Amino acid sequence: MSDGSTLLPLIASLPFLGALVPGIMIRAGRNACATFTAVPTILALVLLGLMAPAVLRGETLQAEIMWLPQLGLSVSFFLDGLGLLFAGMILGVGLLITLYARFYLSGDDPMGQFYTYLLLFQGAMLGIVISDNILLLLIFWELTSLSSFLLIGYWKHLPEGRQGARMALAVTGAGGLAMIGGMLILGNIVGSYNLTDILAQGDAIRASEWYMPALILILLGAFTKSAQFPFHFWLPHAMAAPTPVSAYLHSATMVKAGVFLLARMWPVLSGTPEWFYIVATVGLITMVLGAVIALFKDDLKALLAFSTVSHLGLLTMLLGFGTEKAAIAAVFHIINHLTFKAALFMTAGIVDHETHTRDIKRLGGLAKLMPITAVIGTITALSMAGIAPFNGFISKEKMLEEAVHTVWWENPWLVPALATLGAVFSVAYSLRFIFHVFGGPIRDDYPSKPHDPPFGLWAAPALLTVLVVGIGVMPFLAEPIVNIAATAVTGQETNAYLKLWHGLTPALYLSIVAVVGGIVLLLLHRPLDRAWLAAPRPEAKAIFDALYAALTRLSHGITDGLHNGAISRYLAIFIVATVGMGYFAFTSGTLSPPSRELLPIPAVAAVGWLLLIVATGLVVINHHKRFHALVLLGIIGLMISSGFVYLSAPDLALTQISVETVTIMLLLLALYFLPKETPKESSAGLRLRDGAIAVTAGAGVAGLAMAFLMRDFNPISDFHLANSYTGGGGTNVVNVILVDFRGYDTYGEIIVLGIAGLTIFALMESLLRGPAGARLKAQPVPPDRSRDRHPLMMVVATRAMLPIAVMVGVYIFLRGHNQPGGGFVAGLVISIALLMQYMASGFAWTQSRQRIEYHSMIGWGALIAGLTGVGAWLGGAPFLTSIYGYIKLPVIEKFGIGSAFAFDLGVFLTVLGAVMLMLYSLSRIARYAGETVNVEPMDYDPSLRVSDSKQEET
Amino acid sequence: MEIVVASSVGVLTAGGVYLVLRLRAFPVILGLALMSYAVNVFLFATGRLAINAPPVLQLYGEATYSDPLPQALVLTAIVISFGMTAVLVMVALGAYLEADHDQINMDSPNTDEDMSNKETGA
Amino acid sequence: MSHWIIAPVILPALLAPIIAFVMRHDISLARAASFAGTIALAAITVGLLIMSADGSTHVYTLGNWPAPFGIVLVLDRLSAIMLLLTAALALIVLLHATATGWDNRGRHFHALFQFQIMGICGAFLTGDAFNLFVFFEVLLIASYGLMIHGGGRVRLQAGLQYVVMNLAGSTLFLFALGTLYAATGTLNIADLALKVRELPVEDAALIRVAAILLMVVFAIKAALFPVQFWLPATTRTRRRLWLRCLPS
Repeated sequence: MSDGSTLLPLIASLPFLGALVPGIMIRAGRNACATFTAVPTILALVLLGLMAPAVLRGETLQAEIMWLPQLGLSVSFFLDGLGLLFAGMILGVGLLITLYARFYLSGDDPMGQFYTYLLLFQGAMLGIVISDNILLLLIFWELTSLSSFLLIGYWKHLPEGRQGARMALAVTGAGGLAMIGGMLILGNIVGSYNLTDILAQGDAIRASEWYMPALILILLGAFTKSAQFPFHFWLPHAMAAPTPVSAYLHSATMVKAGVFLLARMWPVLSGTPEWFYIVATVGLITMVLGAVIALFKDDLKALLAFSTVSHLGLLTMLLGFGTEKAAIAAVFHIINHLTFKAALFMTAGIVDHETHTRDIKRLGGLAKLMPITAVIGTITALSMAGIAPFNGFISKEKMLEEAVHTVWWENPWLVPALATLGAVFSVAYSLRFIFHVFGGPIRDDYPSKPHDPPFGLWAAPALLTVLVVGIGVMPFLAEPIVNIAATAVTGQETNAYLKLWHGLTPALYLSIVAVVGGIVLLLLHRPLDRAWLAAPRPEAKAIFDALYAALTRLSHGITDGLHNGAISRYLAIFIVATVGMGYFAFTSGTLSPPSRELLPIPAVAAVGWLLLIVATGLVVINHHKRFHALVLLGIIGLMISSGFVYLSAPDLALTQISVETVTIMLLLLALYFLPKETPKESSAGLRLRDGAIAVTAGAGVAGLAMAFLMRDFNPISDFHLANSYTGGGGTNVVNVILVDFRGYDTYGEIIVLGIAGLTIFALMESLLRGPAGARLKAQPVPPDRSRDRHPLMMVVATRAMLPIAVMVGVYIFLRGHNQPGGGFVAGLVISIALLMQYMASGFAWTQSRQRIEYHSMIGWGALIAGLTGVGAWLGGAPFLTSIYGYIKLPVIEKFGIGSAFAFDLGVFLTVLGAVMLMLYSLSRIARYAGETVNVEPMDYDPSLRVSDSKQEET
Repeated sequence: MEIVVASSVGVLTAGGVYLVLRLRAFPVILGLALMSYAVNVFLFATGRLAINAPPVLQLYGEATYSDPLPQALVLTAIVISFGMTAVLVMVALGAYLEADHDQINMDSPNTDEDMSNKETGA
Repeated sequence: MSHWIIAPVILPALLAPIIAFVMRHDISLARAASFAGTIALAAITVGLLIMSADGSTHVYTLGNWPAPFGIVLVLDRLSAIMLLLTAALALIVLLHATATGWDNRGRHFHALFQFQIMGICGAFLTGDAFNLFVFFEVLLIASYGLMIHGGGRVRLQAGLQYVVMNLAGSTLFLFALGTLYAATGTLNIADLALKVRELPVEDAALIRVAAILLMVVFAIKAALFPVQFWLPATTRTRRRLWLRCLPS
């Protein structure tokens, strides 16, 4: 195992990096665009060539980059014979296609886009063949489906293009899904997702009970991708793609991916009767079926497409045979098929380009008008027919040789007979390609006057034709690569012996029979064609469309039924699922016996508990009267708060009470606009169901709480208790935890408050500017408006309380570090005091006296808190490290103060600003709704009476 | 005393869940408020119960203290829930003012046309 | 221990309040600040990725308190990659929002956006369970604000459903955290792993419940079956899909 660790990942990433270029380079012109597209391919080819000698000597190069080792996903590549062969094919043909496409695409076609998709596809395909990790292979597999979707649908204006692309994606995507399952099973059996590991464990896999499921799933993936029966119908519809795409994807690379997979998995999956019967049979059927259909197609590309299907069937069948010789034959045919099929597609494209038609019935006599094209087409078509001395002949011979030696279910005649039948038809359609397109007299009704295309268009197929002839005449040139690839396929050393003349073997006789039969069929073509058209045939596209439509209706039905915006149902499902799973989890484990003594229940606590339960019950029963429900909610909060006091949590009690107050105020303000009553619209059944869910949820939670309340544990808070004074400088441990030990949490928490304030403000603004604002303005003023909305007593009382409340707030803030209190509570206390001013004197009066903008309070608060934390950086300590010291004030004693104080200040400001901003926003809506703007602080001012009477006296 | 606390959590949760499953926005808000009370008490109870042992250090003399960490957590949770509740109330109010009804279930699933109108509108 | 680890959280956290109160009336200023911050964030995350590329794990103890008593941030390769992804996506979304003028349809877009980035980065970096909850809430509440940005009937209705669903999820998160603390006595994630392993088998029930509850919570966030229903309605409001993808 040598080291390809730099070159392999580089080769894999080159096409992807190159894909970034054509979109931009098109601005420099089509030639520049094509050149820059060719560059990454050429570079990759060069790098491949650097590694080729090592691989041809028999080494395997590997590269690995760990990515998520816990999942077994690593970016690993390896290059063995099979990979080298395919990589060379992909890059080589890719280069030729780049050249061909430059001249094929018309001026209107967006060439930059085309080359981008092409390079993407190239990278994905390359990734499949050099991938060493099956998860990575799957990723690239899906990428090829995706990029081929983009390429097939390239001519977006053609409906056939879009439908063909969709069909291809649906079929190959479904197959890919199945393949994921199969690969995961394989990885599970072996215990690793690395291909090299999997390939070494062939016996273990074949012996495993999961062999069949894995086999079926992987075969599904391979068959869909390679258009094998019964998944062959998508390939002809993909012919709506531009010809370069068809030549690249549907003859040379993408459809070969399935065959590649079969070859790659050969050492692991083959060797069993299941493999033989499934793979070989499917291949055989496909080969014959494809050939038969191809003969009767009038569209040049459709003929070639079905011919591809047939040849892929041939390859599948060979791989299915499971013998070493068959593997060699398959590898050799992969090369040959590539050369002649790609050239043929390009020829068809040239004919289409020149004559503007692909209909064979409208062509003929092109040999004299387009001699170069005719020569290329004839040679490659003869190779496709399997006529000597071209390379197609050699591989067809080898195939027939293998077929002759294959026994199918005790029957030694079936396979050779069908194979010969397939060969007959393939000769027939190949000859049809030659004679009905190029042969015959020149017509006078071509849609456009054909002549030989420019060099750029015929250069690529010409090169391939040279290969066709060369390999045909001197097959030993291909021996090294075939050998090394076949070695990779079979896992053992192979000896490929490729030559033109094997002697008078049965295969030769069968070939002669095939040629003769083919010629006969061709001569009988016209009557056969009539018979074919008259016969009923299943129309694949119609079936597919019907299936597709049915599936879509089904999924619409399900989703519309479930996803109808009814969040109540979603919540019910969520709660039931949670409780169920929690219960299941609880019962699946065991619990140690209780270790704590239960505390006694004093009478006061019992009363409080009773109040809580009753209040909750009343809320649930009477929630229709919303105002009452809010009052009851307040009672519940009060009970909880007193519970906290009893259970040794003074800080919590303070916070609970103040937050409670602000929340109820918020809800009251909102209730002003909402309907005051909830209509009783749930049926009894619904209420019963919800009640049942509620009771089970409550019981579950209570049980859980009881479970841990009765058992001891080792908390980490002993550390906090021990270090609160010495390390944090405060005796109120809860506060020290909040601003020091876990100050980061508090930082996040005040930011949540700040965001809440900002969100509410923003929402209010957008509401008031929209139709809701207009509606609010148009609302009539309720007739039962109180005359004394700003009563005197309330105004005076709240006004007098304000400075006292502020002082209390400041005191709570300052003592927070050592006694219950702190920034939160202080901020809430002061905000409540300010709120009371709003309530007493009205929105406008109070608002006009506001001096500090609430946004700035939030902003300053968050900044101070953050900067306090950042200040620790200056001392080289992590964020939010606190320092503590003592200062001596003249009259007061030694006063302890620390950086936590500044942090708490930030907390205080943010809380205050956020709460005020929220309530300000809500009140503004009230103002919009037609509240009269009051200038005076109270509606009725008794001091006016005094001044009035004084005036009367004077 | 543990029974008192556990049953309170249970009752609050049950009440909260029932209200959350109602069809109007306001009961749902009430339900979420009840559930947040429940979870606060639950979280506080994880520190196990202690009477007369507030976690304020006595510098002189022996004393036991209740677990301060869950109390700090609950404090944070209370404030965060408050922020969330405020936003929820505001959004519910906004939805009511815009839609003129306060049902919590949406009108219809296929409102793409509404969306495109809304984009060009307000 | 390098302070750069906490920079992805602190940078947006300090930038956002400034945008919120100084630049709230000028959208161009807010845009400029937001872009500058996001680009700086992207650069920082690249640096963090390089720092963690050798597979080492960096721990940042906040407040200089040792783990597990204080909160720790953990930077390893996974969190570094997620941070980089966040920054890249944030930049793209910011470009889109600014280019289409979406950010001007309501108030405080950029402040909320920066806060959301802060929440996401904080959630990826944290090594403490409760801290995870807090930063989840930060990013959720910012996403509420961004989701209803611009207003409109459908958006507000979908927003209401989204908020309700997420509040239910957050409540469940707290239940799960409580159970976890009640069983193990610690909140530090690494310490939890240790304690769970040490726990005697007879006591496993509480931990199992906590684990299942946590799984359900994350399933809600990631919209897995059977709790995936909230997703289609909210994405229909054309809100940036990544807001959903990233938390999940």
